[in-house]
Amino acid sequence: MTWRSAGRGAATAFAALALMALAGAPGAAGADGRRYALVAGESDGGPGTQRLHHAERDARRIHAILTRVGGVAPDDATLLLSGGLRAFQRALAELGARAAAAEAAGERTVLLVYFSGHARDGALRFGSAGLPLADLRATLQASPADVRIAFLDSCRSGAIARTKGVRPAPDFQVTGPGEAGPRGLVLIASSAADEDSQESDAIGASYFTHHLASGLLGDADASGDRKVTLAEAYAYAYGRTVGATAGSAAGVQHPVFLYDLGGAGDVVLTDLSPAAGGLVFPAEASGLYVVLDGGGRAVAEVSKPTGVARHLSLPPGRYTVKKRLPGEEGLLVSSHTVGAGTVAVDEAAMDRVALARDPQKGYGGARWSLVAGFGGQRFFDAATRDGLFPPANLLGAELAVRDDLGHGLAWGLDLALGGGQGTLKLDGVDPIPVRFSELSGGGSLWHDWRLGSSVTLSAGGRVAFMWLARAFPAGEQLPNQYFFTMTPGLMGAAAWRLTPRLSAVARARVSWLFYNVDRNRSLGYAEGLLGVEYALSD
Amino acid sequence: MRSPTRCCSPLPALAALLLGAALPACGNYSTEDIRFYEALPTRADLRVEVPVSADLAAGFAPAAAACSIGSADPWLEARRTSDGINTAVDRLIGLIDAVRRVPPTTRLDDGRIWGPFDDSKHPGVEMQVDITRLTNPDGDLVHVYHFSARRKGVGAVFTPILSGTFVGPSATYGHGTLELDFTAIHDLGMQDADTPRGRMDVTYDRTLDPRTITLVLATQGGFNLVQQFTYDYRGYRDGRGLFRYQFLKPALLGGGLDTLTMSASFAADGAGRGEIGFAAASGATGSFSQCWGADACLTWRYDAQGYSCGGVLPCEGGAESACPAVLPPLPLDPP
Repeated sequence: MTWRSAGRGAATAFAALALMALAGAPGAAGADGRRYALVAGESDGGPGTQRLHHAERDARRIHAILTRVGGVAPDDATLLLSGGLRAFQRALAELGARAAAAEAAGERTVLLVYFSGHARDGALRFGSAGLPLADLRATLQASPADVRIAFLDSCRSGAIARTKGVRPAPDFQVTGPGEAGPRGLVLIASSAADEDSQESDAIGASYFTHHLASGLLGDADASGDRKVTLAEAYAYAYGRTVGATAGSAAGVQHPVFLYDLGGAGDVVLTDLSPAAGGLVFPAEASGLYVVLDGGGRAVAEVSKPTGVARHLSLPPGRYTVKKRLPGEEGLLVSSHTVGAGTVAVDEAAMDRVALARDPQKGYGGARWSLVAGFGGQRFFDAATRDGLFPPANLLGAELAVRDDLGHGLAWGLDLALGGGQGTLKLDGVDPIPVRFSELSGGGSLWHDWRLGSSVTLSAGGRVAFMWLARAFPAGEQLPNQYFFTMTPGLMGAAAWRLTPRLSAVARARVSWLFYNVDRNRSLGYAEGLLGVEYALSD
Repeated sequence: MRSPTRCCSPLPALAALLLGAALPACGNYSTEDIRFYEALPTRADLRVEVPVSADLAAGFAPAAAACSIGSADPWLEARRTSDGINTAVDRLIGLIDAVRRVPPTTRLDDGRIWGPFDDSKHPGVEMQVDITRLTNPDGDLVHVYHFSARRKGVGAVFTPILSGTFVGPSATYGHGTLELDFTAIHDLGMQDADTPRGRMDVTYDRTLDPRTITLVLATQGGFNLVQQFTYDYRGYRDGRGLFRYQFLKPALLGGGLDTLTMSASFAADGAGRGEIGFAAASGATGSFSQCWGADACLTWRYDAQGYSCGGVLPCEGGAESACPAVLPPLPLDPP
């Protein structure tokens, strides 16, 4: 979790309810005129700040939502990822000019500004540069767009709501029919003027933006009309952000807003009805569902009561839905492919998995790989090498499975074929040539430690079975001999990733062989193997 | 809610491993077994090596006309006798080799036991083989073994049909004895049509140069009525050798035994010198001497009584100086 500034403050809990109460009859996203959007994510807050991990992703999510279901044409949306202050100001000016041109052409216009990044000392941070909140407010107030809406996901961004001249929400009045559409300025900040805004590695986003996005995708559609209004989105984001941060070490985070909006009707931020694709949570479903994209990152949450179906608009793709069960009982998980239509989430068809298999924590299912290599085997005891078990060459293969057992453990099944030649030396007897062969198969359990992005070290245990045989060349008139036994041992490995799927592997094992034919003995031996590992999945 | 499903669980593999862990190690992978096997004689250990040309080996004996003073018939006969000895040894070793094909049933610190197991050639008979390893007062390893058989039945005891001792770490470098009890084979009903009663004793010593093999067959009937056959063999590493064999057969007329003895000394190429003697039960005795070349043609013959010429005299030829330089043959009368 990363703080977007320092300090803590309070916000009014009734604000969300107030917005809900003030909401008028919604139109459609974009029905209120041409929409322009400036979406910016700034990871760098300059000296004294910690680089944000998810600001740019926040911006990408909002940009995608606005251009897909937010009524913003792609050409009218500008996405800036750590673009800096000048680019932000230039884009804002350009969009303002385009809005002015549209106004002049008689079109109604809406300007949406979203910023995710650091804020400090009353200014949004663009690296070492800052944009005072008052300047931003002034710029938005001066913009020719009919409606200007700003979402600021930054620490203490609620300070912008203190700006003189902005009316508090309770003063907002829904005008009657026949009047012109809404006109004015709406400022929504992720936290109060003295609060930190927080981001979470678990959800891969800031709390506020995550819930704002979830709401815009459909979970905020309290009315069930498949339109998410500004009031619904704010109410939803407020409630979910407060709830999610209530137990955080940085303290609860209260989004705030100021409304200076006149005219008729509410502003519809997203209209889900034209976008057919998505997930449908049926009326009987209840609880908190998290929707993850193919990379295991949260794209939306659905906090759903029973009694009403909830549509979540999603672009085509593969999604995972998870729901945590009470206590430590585990998770319900299901996978869905969203195309042009809606896909129902049937809780009865969801898999119940352990908490360790949480796809949101990087669990993407068991990862299988094949290892093949060449090596050798050698017993520690010299007398044993000279007589009982001569050194052997090995050709081995292994099926390795990671992310299957949890706790960072991996397991594998291996098979090796080996052989060699040696000489059996007995006192008073001519050396007897021996042809030695073996077949071994085992199971290993190990832990991986990654060193950087390329090197992985592994250590663990192995239990194997070994079939050993030796034959004596024709003329010795000695019978072939065999032995079958178990060999527990330890294993270690180092892997160097050459490509995303291919690694060079060096593996060593130390094992004990229980031998009981002539007498009970435990013989130690070592095996080394060099080979390649090919991952069967990414 | 559906039960958790997984395409492949490690549990079966882990269960198999745990099940396998409960299995005891097993097998016949034993170096100690090899030591016991090494104490058993092989064909090569007991085989008598009598040099012979390729033609002779193929059965083409030289025609008497092709040799200026005749062919070395006694030598050729000795070859056949040696082949017969080797055939007997092969049969004996075949019995021993049966042990090599199966692992011991019981392993003791200084012993191995095979069986009891059914004798596939003799229904109702079961066999047992035991080898015991001892240390004699000189500190040498001694292996004592018995191939025993018994008729199946309550209280039946095993009777040794083949017994042996061996001194040394391996048959290749030690010395030993073998005793094959034909009478016991008869008593157990395991005999073939030509199996005599009696016994065969083999003594072999591979510790020296020459290596020696002595075979004494004492029978009661069978083997063309031979009552005793003795064969002494001394083979040097360079291919030279000596042998002497002696038949004792009942006299055709009257009582007593006729004795025929052949003693030969040969070079690595097969050339040699031989003494052939006989002693009839009637008291008559006689002998003659021959030398021959590698082609089995006589180079010298001295037979004052013409025994080797069908009684036709003179029966002499060649020059004794043409005899090959070989060791003196063993005396005709065994000590």
